[in-house]
Amino acid sequence: MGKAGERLTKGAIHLLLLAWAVVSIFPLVWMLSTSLKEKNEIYTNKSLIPRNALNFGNYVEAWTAGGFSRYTWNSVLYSAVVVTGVVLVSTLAAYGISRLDMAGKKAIYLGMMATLMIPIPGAFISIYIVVSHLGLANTRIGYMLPMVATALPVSIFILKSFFDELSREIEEAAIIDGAASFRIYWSLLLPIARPAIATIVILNTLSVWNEFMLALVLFSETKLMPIQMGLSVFVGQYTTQYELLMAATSLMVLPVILVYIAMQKQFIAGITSGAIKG
Amino acid sequence: MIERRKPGWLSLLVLALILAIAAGCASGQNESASQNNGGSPSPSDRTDSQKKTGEKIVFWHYLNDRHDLLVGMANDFKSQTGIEVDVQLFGGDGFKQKIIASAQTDSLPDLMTYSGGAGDLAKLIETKSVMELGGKMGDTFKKFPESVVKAYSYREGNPFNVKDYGTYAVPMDTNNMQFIYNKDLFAQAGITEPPQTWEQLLQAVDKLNAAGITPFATGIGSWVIGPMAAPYEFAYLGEEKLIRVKEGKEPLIGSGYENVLKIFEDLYKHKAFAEGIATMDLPKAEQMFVNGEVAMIFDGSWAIGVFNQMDPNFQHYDVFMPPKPADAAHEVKITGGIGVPLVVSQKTKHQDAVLKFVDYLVAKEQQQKYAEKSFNLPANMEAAKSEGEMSSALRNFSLGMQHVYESAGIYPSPNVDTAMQKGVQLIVIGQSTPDKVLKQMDEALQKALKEKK
Amino acid sequence: MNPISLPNAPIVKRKSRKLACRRYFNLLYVLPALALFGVFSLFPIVKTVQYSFTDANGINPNFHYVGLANYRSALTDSQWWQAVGNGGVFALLSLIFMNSIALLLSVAVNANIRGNQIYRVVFYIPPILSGIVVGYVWKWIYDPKGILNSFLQGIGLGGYTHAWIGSTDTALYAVAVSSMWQGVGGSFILFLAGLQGIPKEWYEAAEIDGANRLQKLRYITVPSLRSVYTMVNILTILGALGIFNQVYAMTMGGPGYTTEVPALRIYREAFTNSDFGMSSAFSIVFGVMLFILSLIQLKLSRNKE
Repeated sequence: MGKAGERLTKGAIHLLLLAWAVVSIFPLVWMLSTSLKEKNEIYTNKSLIPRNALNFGNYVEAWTAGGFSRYTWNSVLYSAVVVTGVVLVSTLAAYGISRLDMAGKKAIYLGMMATLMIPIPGAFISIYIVVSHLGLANTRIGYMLPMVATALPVSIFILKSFFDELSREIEEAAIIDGAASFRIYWSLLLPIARPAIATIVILNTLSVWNEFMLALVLFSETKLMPIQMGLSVFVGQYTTQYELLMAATSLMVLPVILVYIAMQKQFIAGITSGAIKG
Repeated sequence: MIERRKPGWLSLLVLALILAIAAGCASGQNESASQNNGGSPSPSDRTDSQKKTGEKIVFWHYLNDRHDLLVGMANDFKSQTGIEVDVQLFGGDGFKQKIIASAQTDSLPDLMTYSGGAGDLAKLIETKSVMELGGKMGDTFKKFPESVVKAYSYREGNPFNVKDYGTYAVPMDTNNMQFIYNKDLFAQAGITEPPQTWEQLLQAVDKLNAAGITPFATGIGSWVIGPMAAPYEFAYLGEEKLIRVKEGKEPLIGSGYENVLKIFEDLYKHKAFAEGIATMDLPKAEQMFVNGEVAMIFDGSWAIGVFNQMDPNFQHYDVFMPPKPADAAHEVKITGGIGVPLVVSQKTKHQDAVLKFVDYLVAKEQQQKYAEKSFNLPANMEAAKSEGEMSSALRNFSLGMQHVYESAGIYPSPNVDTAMQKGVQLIVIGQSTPDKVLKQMDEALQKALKEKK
Repeated sequence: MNPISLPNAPIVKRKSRKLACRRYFNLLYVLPALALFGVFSLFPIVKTVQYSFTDANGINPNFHYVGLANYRSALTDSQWWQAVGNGGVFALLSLIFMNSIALLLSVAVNANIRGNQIYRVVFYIPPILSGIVVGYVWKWIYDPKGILNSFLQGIGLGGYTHAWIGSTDTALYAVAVSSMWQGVGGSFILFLAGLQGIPKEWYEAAEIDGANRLQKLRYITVPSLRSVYTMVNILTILGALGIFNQVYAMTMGGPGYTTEVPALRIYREAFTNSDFGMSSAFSIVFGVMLFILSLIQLKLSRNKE
């Protein structure tokens, strides 16, 4: 492959990336366009261009009428706490399963994975019943604990796969040096596994942010409700207020993107190479 | 030598977690101590609230566009009686599941707008979760048309096996479903009068096609099939036979039911349907109707409000009853009933206050205010607009309440209804026939009957 | 995977007891996970298994045991198997197209191409949108008078216009496209994370040895991604077979049973038919199938090593 071949491949790569970027962004364009339309424009103006391109009134209305400031704060709180909980619990468990000798390890792992496979209709109803029996219905902690619990199987599954990939040389060196397993976990594995951890932070933030049914069933007070319940206010018995729904959804997407960008910074290839060199 | 890497960000996260959990616990406990779940206060609270001058009842609903109106009414009610009503809105699709979950943990609210049919409510009656209202509110019920009250009434021999006979819901509003047509498009196609018979409707379809106008659309992709078929179930089989056939007491095949399915086949053969009909939902059909893309739609009385919201300038439409086919022996009866049923929890500790509030909600003044905001017709007959004030469409819908059927029978399993729905979706795109679908329905029916034994 | 064991040392009775002790001590690592799991996840599963042998309607705490009747009914239900088949089509299409695109994208982005930071963010936008929103958007795209048909007419392919989700021959693939479109982002970030785990030196060494782009891909990237690839595949299959939100928003399983999927059937049995017994039986049958499928995948990937 000569220089020309190299340039051709590079060109093809750029084309692929650009093409997929356009394809990914496209629905966002539709959402934004709908969010900028007036109520009676939605059904009559079929094109992508709203009559008044800078009509941010819907955003204001969605924010105030939907009580969004409160829901957003709730969702931020739930996301932060649940994600932190999931990261701690699942990294511990995945490390244990991947690296350590443990009694009944295989059974435990397979058991957890099995639950990943069974779609439970109305799982939220069963979870609600448990939470209710614990006296935690309509409380924040009653919501966050089951959210952590249900996120564990996937996160452990993903983390274990990553941990299995990582080289054992450093660990073995550390063990010869007499390090305890926890020390290895805390000081060695976590930093190296940053990309994997960043990934499950992103995935879990997303699932908490988008969660609806458990919140609906568990909470009976508006002041505890997360953001998805705020959105449901726009879906009416006979009509849906698309312009407000899209405005609100567009707003909701921003925090997740911010978390994503923050986590992307963890994807630093340099860390892995540094560790091996040592 | 291991390099000491201190993952500083991780420690920060842990700290944040501990703090957040502490905060969550604290606020959670405070909230659960001062507020009550749903509407069931603990014994000590009860004696306290009896001592207080103001009671508080909890009201859950799913009517987002009427939330402010209901809150306003609650405030008005409080100033009149001193009883506080906590109006909670839970929008979107999940209201039904929320009721189910709350029923299972005995935390239903004092009052709620019920989401579901008579069959669903029957299950809550079985678990003694909802209160019989007919006996306690006899006077109130006199304000509503009989056909409407019957929607959630269970008498001896009811198909839901409810043993605690009575009426379990108070109607907030009523509705029914008929055909709506675009007057301008009809005129364009040279049709001067709305069809009175099924044959005339097919003729109208042909004329519309000749004029290049798409004749018809409705939510065939969803629940609308049942209500649209119902008038023809009554027309071809008559009420008695229909109920017996559905309960499996008479055979489905050979009952004449295939004629009901033929309605959809007729429309397909005359190319009446808009493109994409097989998975179309009602809102999409409504959009098309408002934009003048189709000449007819099968929809409910709430459509008037929907059209108004979509395009206030769109006014040239009117309503006609599902037209009877020439070879049908009985009269047409239409689908309709209660739009929003009010249901009271059996376990409520504020029975008098709740019933008082219900009375208030269905009183003439509130019903009139509600009818203006809601898309449905008021339930209270006293609140109906005077004939002069109504548009022709609204008047026709109003009159339609007299033709609403009481019961169309119920299959031993919803799977038969599903078989019909799925079958009709294929008929309307010419990929199945009434006979085939009837056979599929019968299979499902036989299977369900066998399992019941 | 072989559990890590202490390095070879003179075997002394004291050490082997310590070994056994350690095996139980290490359970502490999974303790928090097990505790949470036990409290919140176990109950729903147990309840589901219980319901599958009853005629429960999900509301009444009283119900009757019906033995294997639900399972017999489920296993002989032709619409169920059609739904499973549809799920299988989704899974196959996703494995072939969606993951290949995701892999290519991740490799391209990982190579530090100009603008790759932006690409990473943009590619993750589809998964961020909720299934309902995605359903709305694609319904709008597929509308008979919508943008896809207009586009086809515009470039002279008017004969190909279709009622994409309203026709039995295209509905399944139309929904599949929308589901894959959303899924690429998820696989993408998993692959990307996996790629980050490959030490840069290996590439540098290969380059010194004169390897070109394709050879690097073949001999370094692909083998190192093996474990991640299996994991992504399993997640993809689980996700595709379990698709719900988009089908619910776009077709509700129609026309007829063309786009019927297992999750939709399970939902309908539970909440429309109020038959938690059947719904649970379907869930268990489905879960067992997925479990076996995943085990097979894991076994296959292990054999390759």
